[in-house]
Amino acid sequence: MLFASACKSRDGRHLLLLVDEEGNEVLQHPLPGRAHHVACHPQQPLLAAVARRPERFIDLVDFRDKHLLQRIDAGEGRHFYGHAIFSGDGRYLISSENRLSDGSGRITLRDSQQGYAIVADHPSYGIGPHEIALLAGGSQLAIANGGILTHPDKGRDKLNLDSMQPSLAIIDLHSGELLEQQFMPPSLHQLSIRHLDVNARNEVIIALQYQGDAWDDVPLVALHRPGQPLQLLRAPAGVNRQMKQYCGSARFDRSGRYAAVSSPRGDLITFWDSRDGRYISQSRVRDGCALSATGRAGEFLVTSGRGKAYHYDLLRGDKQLQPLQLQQPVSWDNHMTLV
Amino acid sequence: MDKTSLFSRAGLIALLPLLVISKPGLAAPSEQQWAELNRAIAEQHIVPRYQALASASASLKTATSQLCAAPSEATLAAAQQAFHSTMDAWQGIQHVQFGPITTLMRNFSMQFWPDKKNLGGKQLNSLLNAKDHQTLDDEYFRAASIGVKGLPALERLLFGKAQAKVMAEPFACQLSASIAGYVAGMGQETAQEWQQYGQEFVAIDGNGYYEDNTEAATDLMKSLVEPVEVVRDNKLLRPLNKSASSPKPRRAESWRSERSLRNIRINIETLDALYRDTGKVSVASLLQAEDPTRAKQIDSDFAAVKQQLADLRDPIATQLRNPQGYAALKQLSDQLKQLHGNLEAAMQPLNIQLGFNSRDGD
Repeated sequence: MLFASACKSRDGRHLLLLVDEEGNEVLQHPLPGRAHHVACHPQQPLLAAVARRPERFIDLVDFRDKHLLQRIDAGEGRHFYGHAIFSGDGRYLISSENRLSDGSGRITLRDSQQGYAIVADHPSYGIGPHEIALLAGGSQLAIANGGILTHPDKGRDKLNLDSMQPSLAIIDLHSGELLEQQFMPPSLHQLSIRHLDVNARNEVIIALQYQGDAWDDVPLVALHRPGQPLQLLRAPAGVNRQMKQYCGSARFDRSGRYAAVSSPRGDLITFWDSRDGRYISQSRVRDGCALSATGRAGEFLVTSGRGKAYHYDLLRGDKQLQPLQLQQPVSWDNHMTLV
Repeated sequence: MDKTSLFSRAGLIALLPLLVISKPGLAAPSEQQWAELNRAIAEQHIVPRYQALASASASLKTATSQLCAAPSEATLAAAQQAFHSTMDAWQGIQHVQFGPITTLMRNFSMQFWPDKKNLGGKQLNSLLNAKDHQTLDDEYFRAASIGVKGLPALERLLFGKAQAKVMAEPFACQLSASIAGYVAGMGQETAQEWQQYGQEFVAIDGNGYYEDNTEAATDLMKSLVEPVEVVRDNKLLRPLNKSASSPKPRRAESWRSERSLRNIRINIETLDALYRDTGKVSVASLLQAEDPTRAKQIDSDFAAVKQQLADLRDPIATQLRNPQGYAALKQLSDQLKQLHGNLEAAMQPLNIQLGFNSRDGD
């Protein structure tokens, strides 16, 4: 297998697709709405396609038998934010959620051995938790608290841009205890922390989205090392502008040293060295957003809203189109996972 | 290198027998059709409009210098007239928000608007009060805040409260000439750079900025569709505010020079020209072949919007403050919403994806 991703087909349907290494479509599962991230179970042939806000479903799909195993509903007064992951042992499905009664961010654990019943419901220690990732060892969780308050009654409107307080929180997965929290500096409180990835040294690469004025030129990537404040990273002037104040996904490569950050509004992917936070280079990908590390150091898979997939070898600066044979053209959604 | 995807190749093969009997409306426009249209839009629509901006702003620079050399009612009127011509030209190319105009934030520098926090006013006043002659040279302007180096700042000086200072104080007048000089510089540089940049829309072989003609067309189609919504949101809905009892005339664009509606009229005429006036091949002709019903709706939307605009006179403040005027502006905004919806819907039969992750990300 190559990758799994949510997408929208030319005829307007929301689908979960699984594509093999030759680019053939091997699974097409119709989704009840637009999904965002897809998680792959660490041991079983199982994919979890997560509804983006303000929807309430997670479709658990067995990709070997090609059937919907279970459709999880977020429950009354809750919705998902588009991200969920499996615990390292595969037992728990962990998701970021909105509790509408007080607008607080929640991290919920569902137990696969109990039909995905909720067994823990932790605070995310912020508003609008988005992407989550396990730290090395698997007992701690990094949470991107975007800081933006939304409510399904107001569609996708952002309700607190003047007072938002994005943060990165590290919690104990099982007790929910807050172990570390880093906030954006007050002058950059409109810089939403949305997407992240963790490497083996527990460094976190963060893709940011700016909610301030269109002409501001702010850093759009951040790096976090355990116990230290966020290190804000800025691309060279022209490139930073070109990122259009919006990053959609961040992934470390297999070695954990290099990181890719996508800027779909600016049609480019930027590459960073986590050793010193240095900007390395960029590659142009029209409406490119979803990223995954491949099995090779310095190599990433990138998919785009134009339905393309590319292998990008950072060390050689080489971009190769991955031919795809799909039933019809699609727009690949924000995130993609290797299977 | 074949740039078409496996899909469209398979699609083409499947459609060949149908094409032989030459029925229209069975396939999306071909790469060849987009190639022709891209070239026509770049060469016949965009480049001449940037040239018009360069030429109008060069005249504005001259007119403000003449005003400062001999301040009088006549030289002021000439400078104001030159401002109007420059704003006309800018409104006729404001819809293009990619390429050289985005270099060094020229787009925001040219027109820092909407200025919700009144940054432009505050910064201009502090320059006028400080009277530091260093702030008049080109070097300063390159680094200056975008709030003071474009058309809104110039409008305040030539039409607003600061006009008295411009007529009485050499420093204030020089400031207007310096801003006009900076605007003229941006106009000239942008037009010049498009001579080169326009080539990106001609003979696309995958080695330039764009991978294929459809991708290049996507940027051009964005310039057709998205401005309709921007015009509606910023230029109409903000001044209309919540209800007829609380309009906000000073949120309108160019209210000091009393040309808010003239701007919108030019915007719509420009988009209409981009839609249909590009010679043999146009968006209108491609859509007519794919989806004649939609094409007809768009024709009638453009006609309705233009008719409504023809019946509305500046200043917009007068319209906002009387019930009929307010209702007419509201109706115009509804009609623009419909036009935007139809243009957006037209992108599917044209097989143009304006953006998925980039337009509605999370």
